[in-house]
Amino acid sequence: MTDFQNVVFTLNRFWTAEGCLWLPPLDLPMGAATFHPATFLRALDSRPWAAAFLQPCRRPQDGRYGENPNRGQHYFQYQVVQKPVPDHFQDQFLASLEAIGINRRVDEIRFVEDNWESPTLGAWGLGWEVWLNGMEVAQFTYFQQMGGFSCEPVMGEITYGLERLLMSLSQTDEMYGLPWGAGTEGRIFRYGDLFRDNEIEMSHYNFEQADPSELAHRFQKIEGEVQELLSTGLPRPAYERVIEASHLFNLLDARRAISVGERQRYVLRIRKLAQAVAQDYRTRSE
Amino acid sequence: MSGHSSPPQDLLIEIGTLELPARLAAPLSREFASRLFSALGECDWIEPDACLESWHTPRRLAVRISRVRGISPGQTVVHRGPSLERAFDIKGQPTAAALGFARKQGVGWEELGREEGYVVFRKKRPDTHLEEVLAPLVEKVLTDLPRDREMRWHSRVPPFVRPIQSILFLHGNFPVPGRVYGLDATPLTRGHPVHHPDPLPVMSSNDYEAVLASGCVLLQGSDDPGLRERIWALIETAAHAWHPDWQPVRNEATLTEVANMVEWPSALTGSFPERFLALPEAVLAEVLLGQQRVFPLSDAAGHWKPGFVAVVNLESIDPQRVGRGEERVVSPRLADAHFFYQEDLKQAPAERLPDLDEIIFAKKLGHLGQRRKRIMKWLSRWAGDFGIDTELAQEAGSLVLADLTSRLVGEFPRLAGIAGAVYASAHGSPPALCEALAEAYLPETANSKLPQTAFGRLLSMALRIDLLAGYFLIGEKPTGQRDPYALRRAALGLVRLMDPAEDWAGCTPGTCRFLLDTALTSLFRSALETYPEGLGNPEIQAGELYSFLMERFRGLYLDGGGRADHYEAVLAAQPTTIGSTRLRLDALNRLKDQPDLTTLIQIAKRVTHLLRHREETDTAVVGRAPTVSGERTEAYLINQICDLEPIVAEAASTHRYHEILIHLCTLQNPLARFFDEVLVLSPDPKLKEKRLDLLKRANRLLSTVADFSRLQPPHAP
Repeated sequence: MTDFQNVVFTLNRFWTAEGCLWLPPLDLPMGAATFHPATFLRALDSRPWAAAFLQPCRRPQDGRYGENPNRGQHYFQYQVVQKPVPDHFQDQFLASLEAIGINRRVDEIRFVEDNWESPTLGAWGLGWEVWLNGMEVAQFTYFQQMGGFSCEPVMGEITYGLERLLMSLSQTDEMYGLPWGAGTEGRIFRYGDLFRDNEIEMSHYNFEQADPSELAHRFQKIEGEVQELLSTGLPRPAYERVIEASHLFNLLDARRAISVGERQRYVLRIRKLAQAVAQDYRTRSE
Repeated sequence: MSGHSSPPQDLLIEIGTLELPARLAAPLSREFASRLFSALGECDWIEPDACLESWHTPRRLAVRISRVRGISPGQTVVHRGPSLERAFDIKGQPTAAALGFARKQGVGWEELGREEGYVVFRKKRPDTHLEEVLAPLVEKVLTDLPRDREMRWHSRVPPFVRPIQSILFLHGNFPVPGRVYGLDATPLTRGHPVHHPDPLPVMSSNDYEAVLASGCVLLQGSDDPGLRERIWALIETAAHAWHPDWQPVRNEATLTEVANMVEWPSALTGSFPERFLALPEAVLAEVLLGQQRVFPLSDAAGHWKPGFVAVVNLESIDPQRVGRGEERVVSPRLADAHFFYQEDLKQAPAERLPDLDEIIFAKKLGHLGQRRKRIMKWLSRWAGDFGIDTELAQEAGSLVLADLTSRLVGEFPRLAGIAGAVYASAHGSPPALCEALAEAYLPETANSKLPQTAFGRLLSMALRIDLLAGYFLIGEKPTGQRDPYALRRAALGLVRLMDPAEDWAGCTPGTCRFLLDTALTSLFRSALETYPEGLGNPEIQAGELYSFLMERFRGLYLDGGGRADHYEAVLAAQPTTIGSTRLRLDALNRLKDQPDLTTLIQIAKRVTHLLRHREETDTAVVGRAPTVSGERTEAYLINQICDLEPIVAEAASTHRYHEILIHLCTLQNPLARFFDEVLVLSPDPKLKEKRLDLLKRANRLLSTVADFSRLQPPHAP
């Protein structure tokens, strides 16, 4: 039975068998699993690293009050990172898709050029978006730069977009109809049973209730805190503040509280913080 | 070992990669092949009559060169020893000197030869085998291939476009050992990842295509549209099988991209809700062709239908399931576009204008609001002359950037212009203005469609001229490979907008005259002057921009098979516009093989030569006594020139250069006779000045179309 929780279990088993460490998600709101320290910070040093984890993500701007069949402000990414990148990384990935029930004689998998860039993290990479019957279900990236620093050795990243992957796998046209798993007395819970109310309420909060002046104030305060923490020799707490700043920016954006021009300045401010953290972390990890 | 003493053989090289970017596969393959061919050629590995083939698929670059040597014979070096007299005594026995020399060469004295009075040793350097040079040479060619961004994936190998996974070397029937990018060369290739996952042995370099076909991989020749047409046929078949009356909408860019994404193509159909057909066709096209790379369908009357054809890299055992997958992407994307479109429509384009002040146009060049004002100012200067109502042009300039803040353009940047046109139309702007807005960014690429209206052409010129002027003022000219703001592309587009060899659709005679007559430097100066003072010198930059545009035109002209010497000759005549440059070149080209013109060119060269180097050259006629016939000849030439000057000037004012050349041909006789019978560098200084002035006048006249002295003789290429 293809349901959400089983896919996660299978991926956990698959990637730990491939030598990845299983990790818990980070308990902070973030826009993508790339923000997880197991990705961002670990990409900055030269030590080998391989990890796999589920990470809930939030992108307030993508909220649709639970009405869009495949777009929401909250979703799940399954993240795999490996450094150095194994030569058979793509084969591993294809095998993981087979493990969750994709038959490649039936479904078309295609690697389409996608040059990933995160202006807020001062990061970019080269790779592909992975299409499953025309739907982008994953991103496959070789990080070239992170926090303004060249990645050496290069870290490879696979980010599965679980909702889309599951929609394609289970032939479901709507995200909220996805089977999540069996609960008490074998009752099948759907994705919507668990998250639709949350999606509606959070859309109201993100678009209408969040207090822009409070958010902007907090953002500004963080800039000082990051410098303070770095000078005290605490790059990890400083990095958590950067993740927080990024989410505040996304909320301000969703509230339409920043103009187009200001938007660019906010991005640069976050990047400056991320680069300062990256620099400090690298110096300490050498 | 490869047959060292055997005749030259075909050399097959395949670089297996992870999926290459579709837009890069063809140029990479061409460049790889031609560089490899010349690198091998330079080291003398290729027979003179060798030919080159190259292919690519998403996962490989392949090259086959015929008649490649397996061995390069080592050269013989001659070492000279002592003279024969010193080397041998009278009995013919070797002396200590000869024995010493032989010892130094590591041979017995019997092996020494005798040449030109000396003992010599001919030492043959060892032969070089292909396997010793091939791998390093291939690796160097790969590392040096030009690319916009390179990927690092492994610390121990150089970067490339995407990770390299396998190397195949085959010389005739023999594998060539070697290591490239840390990988051992093998005689194995890779088939389709699903239909033939196991490695495929290639027994002979000539079997390559057949072996890959057996592994479900169709090769695409670098310059061969075969695969594209094959895919198009699949698309048509799929469409007709679904709805006999529906026809797929062909789009070359998407078809090319799709062909570069598949190794074993098949086509299948899908549908979307009919209500999305209410979207403007350009929006549908952007979602279907641009984003999803599927082909829309239309009925016989050209109305689009709620369906599409997708091309996939698989012969699926359940194509319907794949089609449903495609539908699951297309419909939400159209729903999103529809949502953005409806949201955008709520706001009148003019209401967006304040937002432009918030968007940076470029560092040091202010925001888009300022760009808008500059464009309006430039348009108000030129619209009337161009034949467009000034007020309407101002309105277009005001609105042309407004859609950059719309949600639709935010999601689909390529809809800039088109979205603006749709929104302006929905809010009651006149059709002429909307058509112009829709064409403001044309042409998008070097070969793509130009505006079909004069108004659109003017607007596109305005955007490009403002852009180029700004970046030149702040010193951001492209250098070498670096052109981060794509100024060359913008300039090439501008050249095409003003080139009479292109289709000047929708242009009145007045507009055509404007394009032919208005000096490039004036068009640029008026844009440069709309920028704040102190950025840079408008006068100097107008000149720089003129040269920059002419350089783009030169590339265009040479790519079209034009002759470089023609271009240089016309440029030396200092044409002020792209149009007059093109028309001069056309006139030259039309007459290039006419004997009359050839003679004229020779005479004209003599004139220039004499004016340039008068001291040395005129000796031939120095000392010739003035004659009566000489004076008559001189008078005849004067008359001819006086007659021609107004005629030529009048023809030049309307760019009738062919006519001018015909007229100028009538000067060849008077000039030839003048040279034969008149002493130009007369001992009488007054006469000398007079005659030189006459020749200068003749020269000015002769240079109306081109500076003939820069033309190659007609037999040269």
